Amino acid sequence: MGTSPRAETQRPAEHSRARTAARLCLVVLLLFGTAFASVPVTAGDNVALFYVEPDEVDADPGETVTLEVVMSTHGGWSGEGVGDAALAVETDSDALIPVAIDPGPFLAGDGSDLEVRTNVDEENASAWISQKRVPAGDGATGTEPVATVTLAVAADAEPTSATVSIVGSQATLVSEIRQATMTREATVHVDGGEPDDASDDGSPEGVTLAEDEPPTGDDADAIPGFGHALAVGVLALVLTARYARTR
Amino acid sequence: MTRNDDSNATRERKPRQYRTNRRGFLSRAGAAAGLVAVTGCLAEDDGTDAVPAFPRVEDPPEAVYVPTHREAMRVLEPLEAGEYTLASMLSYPHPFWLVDGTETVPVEPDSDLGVHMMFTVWDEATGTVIPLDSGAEIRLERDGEPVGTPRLPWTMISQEMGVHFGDNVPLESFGTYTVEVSLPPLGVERTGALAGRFTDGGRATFEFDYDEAFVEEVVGGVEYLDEAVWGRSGALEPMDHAGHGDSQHHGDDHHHDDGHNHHGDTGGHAHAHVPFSALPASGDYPGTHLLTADGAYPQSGDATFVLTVLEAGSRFADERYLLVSPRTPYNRVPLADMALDVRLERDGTTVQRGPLEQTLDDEFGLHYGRALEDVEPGDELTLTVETPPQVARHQGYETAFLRMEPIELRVPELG
Amino acid sequence: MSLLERTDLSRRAYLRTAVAVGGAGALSACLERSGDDEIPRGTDDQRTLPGRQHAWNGVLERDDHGNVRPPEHHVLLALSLRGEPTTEDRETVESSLRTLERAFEWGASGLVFTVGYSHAYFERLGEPPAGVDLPAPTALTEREDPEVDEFDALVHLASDHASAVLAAEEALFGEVETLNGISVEVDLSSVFEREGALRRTGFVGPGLPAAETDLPAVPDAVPEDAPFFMGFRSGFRESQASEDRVTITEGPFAGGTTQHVSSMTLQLDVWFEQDSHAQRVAKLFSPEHADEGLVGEVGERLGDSSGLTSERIEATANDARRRGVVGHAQKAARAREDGQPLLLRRDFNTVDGDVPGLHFLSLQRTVEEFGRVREAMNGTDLAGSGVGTVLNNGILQYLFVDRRGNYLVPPRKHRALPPSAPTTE
Ligand code: HEM
Repeated sequence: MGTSPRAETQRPAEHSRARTAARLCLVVLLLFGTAFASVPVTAGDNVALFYVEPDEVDADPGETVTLEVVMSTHGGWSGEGVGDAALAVETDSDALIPVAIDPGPFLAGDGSDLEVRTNVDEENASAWISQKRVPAGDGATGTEPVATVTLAVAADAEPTSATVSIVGSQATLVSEIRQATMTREATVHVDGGEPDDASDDGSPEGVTLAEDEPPTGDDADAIPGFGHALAVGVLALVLTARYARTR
Repeated sequence: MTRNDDSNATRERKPRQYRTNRRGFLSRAGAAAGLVAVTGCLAEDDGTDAVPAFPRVEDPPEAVYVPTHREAMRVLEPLEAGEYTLASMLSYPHPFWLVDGTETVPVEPDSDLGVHMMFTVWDEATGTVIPLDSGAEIRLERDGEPVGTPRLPWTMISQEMGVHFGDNVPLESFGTYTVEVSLPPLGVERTGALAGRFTDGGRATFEFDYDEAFVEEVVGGVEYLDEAVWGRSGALEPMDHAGHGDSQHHGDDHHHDDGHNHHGDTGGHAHAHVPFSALPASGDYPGTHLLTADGAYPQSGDATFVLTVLEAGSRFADERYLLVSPRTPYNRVPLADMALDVRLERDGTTVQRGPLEQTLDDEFGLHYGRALEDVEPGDELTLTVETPPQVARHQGYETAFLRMEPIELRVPELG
Repeated sequence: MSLLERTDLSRRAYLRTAVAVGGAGALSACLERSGDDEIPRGTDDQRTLPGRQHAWNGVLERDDHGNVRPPEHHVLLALSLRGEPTTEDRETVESSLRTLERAFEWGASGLVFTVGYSHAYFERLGEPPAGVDLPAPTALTEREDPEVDEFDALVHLASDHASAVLAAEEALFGEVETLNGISVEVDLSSVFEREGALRRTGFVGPGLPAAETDLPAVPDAVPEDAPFFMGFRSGFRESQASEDRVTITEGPFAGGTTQHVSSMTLQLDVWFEQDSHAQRVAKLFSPEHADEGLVGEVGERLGDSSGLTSERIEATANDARRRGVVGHAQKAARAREDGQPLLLRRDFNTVDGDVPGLHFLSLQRTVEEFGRVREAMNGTDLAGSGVGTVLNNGILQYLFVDRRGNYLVPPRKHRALPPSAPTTE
């Protein structure tokens, strides 16, 4: 495998794409903590999880809030850990402005350096950080904070409930292979603000739930949703016809 | 442009090289000598790190359920392989489940390097997707050298992709790979416009780039669903490969009769129309449908069964014909390679009993059928699933269609 | 495995690599390493040797259950005639072969070998062999498109001593002056050309397949004690035809046999890393073997038979329907006649071309019988009734046939360039 110039591969494009991604991950109830003596065949997913801690916090106007982004990964299928990671956070309210983003201990390893690049974009209420462990060694696995985000609550903020979400996330194994990622957001209650109950308990787009099905009858097996033009972004389908080539 | 071969073309395959090279021998001889030293010091994992298990649905229902995520894949342009048309889809190596009788055997990749390679194979003329094991074979090459040994991918079902052939294919490094796919003649009973077709095999070759950009696409494109829906009864909607809307729905005009050649030089645009292997809706089957007492289509192991008795003299038999079409709920994916047995009883005595034959029809897709010599309204029909569908499963299908109870129905007035 | 056994295994693995490489260098490397300088000499007296070239079982070792233990090292030499065979050529061939018999005792501790002649050879003579149906090799499954052996003769050399097969090969082509202390005066080089690219080699024995895991296509999961790549013992007495059963009984070639050699690549990643042990047992033996744990890790629970009762053989179609899987052995055994297997299998593992494979060498009275057994193994009749064309239909998914050849192995007295209808004096 070619050793790509990873250190320089920070991709703003990545984040702008991620920014538009549907925010599907709300509450992720993963049960950590129990030590698995050996990993049996689980047929689970190989994925890196990023979540904000605490997932709910109260803050007053003018105050500064510090949240941790925790990263949790088992590493790759052949046991290799993560060598570099990047993430972008965004808030959905002018009341909450990121002012700093710093590395956490996740990627810091004995005898290796951490190459860090960060960017804080107050105007767009977002910030990103990219970190690379050099030398990567076996990479990092486990569950630990990977970044700390400092947010300033506007002095003139009205009571509101703001969401801090991870809009871009990337974990690359020491084998240079990316890991899929999963994220989970947090809520900051500014000045006692409550979330406006925009509860949507229907099925997410592109998913058919049994309870939404018509009762089994003559039309029981009509394929729901199928036949409608589906948003390409949701399908995350990459159609690249040109890859079939003449040999 | 693509290269298509048909089965009659003379094969040019690199013959197996029987002579091991001497250089290899010398280094391997050295390795053999060192063997004793090395094997002694293989350490065991201490297994103490508190790393979470891979995220997965805990205790999924014994039914079709919403998986944790939606896969992303790269869809390559369709190719002709003899009478077959095939499209390959590439994703990252991921877990799937094999079926052993009524049990599943989980398969996990042993490396992240590689691809999950999938093919949908279909008949362009009728739009019928080949939904059952037919012995498709793949060989990979890189720079003219074989990569690994050949493989016969599994027949698999997935909520997004329907029936396809697929396997995790480990690759050692980034590069451009050539894949040769060979499809043998079809072994299954064929009817309708498929009768007499696919008696020869076919072959096609394509290339793909396994590189950072690819991994970026397929890993970066994975989308985790709201955890609140993980494991709930339901399914992902089928992937619409070309944004064309409904695909294998009969009666729709999905043929390209305008002489437009979309296997050839379409110049790098997303033009792939890969049909989804959906069966016709239950209402599209002729004959007298057999429903449960409350008027629903019977279910077993979370599969829906369309059972219909066709009139004597149909395309299938001189006598009346029992057509059984088991499919997944929600997406109507055909369930292949099962063994079904039917028994008809009248006043407590068996009037007919025997196996159904797996059949592929252009109009009704994959089904299981049998002529009924003597059937009357009021007869008790028992359909026994001797073996559930022996097809491998993607996440969300691995707990369904395994323990399948017999279906008991009463034959209504026959039309 | 003890350290001693491991040391021994690394030595054996080294020797098998030497056999694969071949040639004088490998031979000398092998003589240095083998520690078996004392290989028993053979005989001058043809009358003490069996009349059948394929009469190996009488001299091969047997285990406690009476199963024949195949020799560890094998070489298949592909030979093409330089011209039309003459009487002089016949004498040359016969003397060359007698040199081998003088140098090495007939047996695994010395050397056993056969010489077979192909369809192409008899075409060259203008007449098919009298009383023997020897068709040109063809594809035997829908899936395969094999290369076919079109050279004239095939020599199968086998011994427990790597140096014996290597030295015999060298002697046959005049590359050495003495063979196990016997001087080599005549050799085949004036009569035959070696098809070097088609030289095939292999090995059988517990531990040897697992010693090949440094090859990328051989997974670490190959069991340490397995004698064959697919991880199980095979060749149980009750599953093998007797030498009598495979011997031609009539005509000038009576006392001979037919030989089918197919070379195949094995897909071991999927077999060991995806299938479970239970699935492997079900697919190789029968689902009942798996459900009842009859086999053990590598077949150690089996004695002189693979446990294929007539009930288990008859249950094949039922197993497909009820269990969704059928075993290879169970399927193949459907071709038995009067309860007797038709094939005497002398197959061996290979890593020719650096990929795991099998040279499936089988002896049977008629080539047609081989076809029949292979058809039973194909299980086309079972496809669609609970098992697929390939999937769960025995081990078809893991075998990729690259090459096939059919040979007539004449009785010893006609082994040297036989005419189509030799006269028996
Ligand atoms: C890698 C390939 C193969 C493996 C691992 C394999 C393995 C086995 C095993 C474990 C058995 C049962 C135990 C025994 O031999 O007594 C068996 C039986 C048998 N196999 Fe294979 N085999 C292979 C290829 C073939 C092929 C290509 C044929 C060709 C027709 C074949 C024909 C048979 C027959 C005739 C039997 C005996 C059936 C009986 O008991 O009557 N095998 N094989």
